[in-house]
Amino acid sequence: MGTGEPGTRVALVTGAGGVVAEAIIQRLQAEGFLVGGLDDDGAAGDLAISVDVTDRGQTVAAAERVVRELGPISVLVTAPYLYDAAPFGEMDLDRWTRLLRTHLGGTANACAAVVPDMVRAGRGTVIALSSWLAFAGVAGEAYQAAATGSIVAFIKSFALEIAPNGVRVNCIAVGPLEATPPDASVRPAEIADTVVFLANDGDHFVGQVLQAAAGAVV
Amino acid sequence: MGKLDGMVCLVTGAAQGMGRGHVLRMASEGARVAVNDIADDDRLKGVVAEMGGFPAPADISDPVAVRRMVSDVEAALGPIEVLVCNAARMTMMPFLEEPPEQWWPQIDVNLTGHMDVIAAVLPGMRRLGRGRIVIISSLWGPTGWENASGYTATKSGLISLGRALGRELAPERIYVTIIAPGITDTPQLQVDADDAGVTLEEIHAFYAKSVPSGRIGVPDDIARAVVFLSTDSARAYVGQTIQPNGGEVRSSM
Repeated sequence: MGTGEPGTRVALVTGAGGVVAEAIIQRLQAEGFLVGGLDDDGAAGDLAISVDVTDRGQTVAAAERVVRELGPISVLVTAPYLYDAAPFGEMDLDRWTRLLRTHLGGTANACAAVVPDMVRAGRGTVIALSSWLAFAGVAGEAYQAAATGSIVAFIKSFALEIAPNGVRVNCIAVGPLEATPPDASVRPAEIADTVVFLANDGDHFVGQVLQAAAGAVV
Repeated sequence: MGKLDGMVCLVTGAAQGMGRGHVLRMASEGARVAVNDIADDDRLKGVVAEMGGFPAPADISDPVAVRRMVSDVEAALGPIEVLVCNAARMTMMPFLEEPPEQWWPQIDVNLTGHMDVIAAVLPGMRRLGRGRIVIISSLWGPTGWENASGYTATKSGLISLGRALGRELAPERIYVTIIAPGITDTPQLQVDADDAGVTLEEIHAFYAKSVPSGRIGVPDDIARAVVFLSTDSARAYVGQTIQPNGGEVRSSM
């Protein structure tokens, strides 16, 4: 562990314990990135830090530790994976608050922790994962749709705020990971491919949502 | 190793501008590229000479010429695995002033012409059991634009065509996607500058002002998106539109 060779790119991935994040971390490492992974449960990466991303202070401290031990962060990937569902009106306020604080709050906290350094450097890219549920409209998913949809709205506005500073912010709407038939499901490796595309070749993408939904949303 | 090693690709409207950029990037990724444009002229020959591609001149608004072109490409290179629908005609004039004989050729090339090209390459893709069709729309497809009624009708028509074919063909592992580029630095900008009575530098600055990232696109911005959608990663994208435009339009397509 420690700072990589000069020029080694560093990425920070939140929600690092999720299955999509696992594929993203592997692909980023294959591309030569050192990866800091944040999660409150089973983090992964070159530097795994156990942290609650719904807490701004903890998230900022964890990002500072990644910079100190791995180097300046050029790519931030937010990958919240908490799932909760109930018919509308039947979810306790505590559960809903936890869902929203994890998706929107975790995304916003990670941006607040990482992006100021990117702005000072005049470059960097943020890739926020949201969900096809934010677009599709599915009965019984109102809470998950609202929590993930709020990420989309946040990211589009935040992207415009910092685009003039050379920092690119975009979103991937992740399709269903399990579906019938299996071909209608999205594989984590495909999301990882999109992350690498946006990081390496997405210079002109700003405030966009890429719908990697395998046909669940057309 | 390139991302498109050995893949047979056909790019329409590739003698200059964005299409030329797609060809150069795809060839540098190892693809064997057939280069289409309306005339077998020095520009087409220049692109072919530069990257060792296969010349495929044809007016894509002529269905007979399209079928002949596709069969020539298949005879020389094999079935086409990736089709990039890039060719476009554009004239700018107020709708009520534009004569039909000027308005319709935009539809005939951009929309109907590409329907014919897609129909001609599909049997080969079906024999292969896979394929990628990347349709180039425009920023102006989702937004519309004054004095460009014919062009924007084709560009939003292409988005709808791509959605429908995306649904229709995904079960056959033929993935159809759309790219709606923002204003991009191509020879068209000189035309726009001449129309507006300003210099090329002035039109660059004018367009860049409306781009949040502060610059207009370059052809390789779009070409790299074409390469991404030509790889296996495209399987996750069914009839989707992606928009490399520096943030100018952020509608979710």
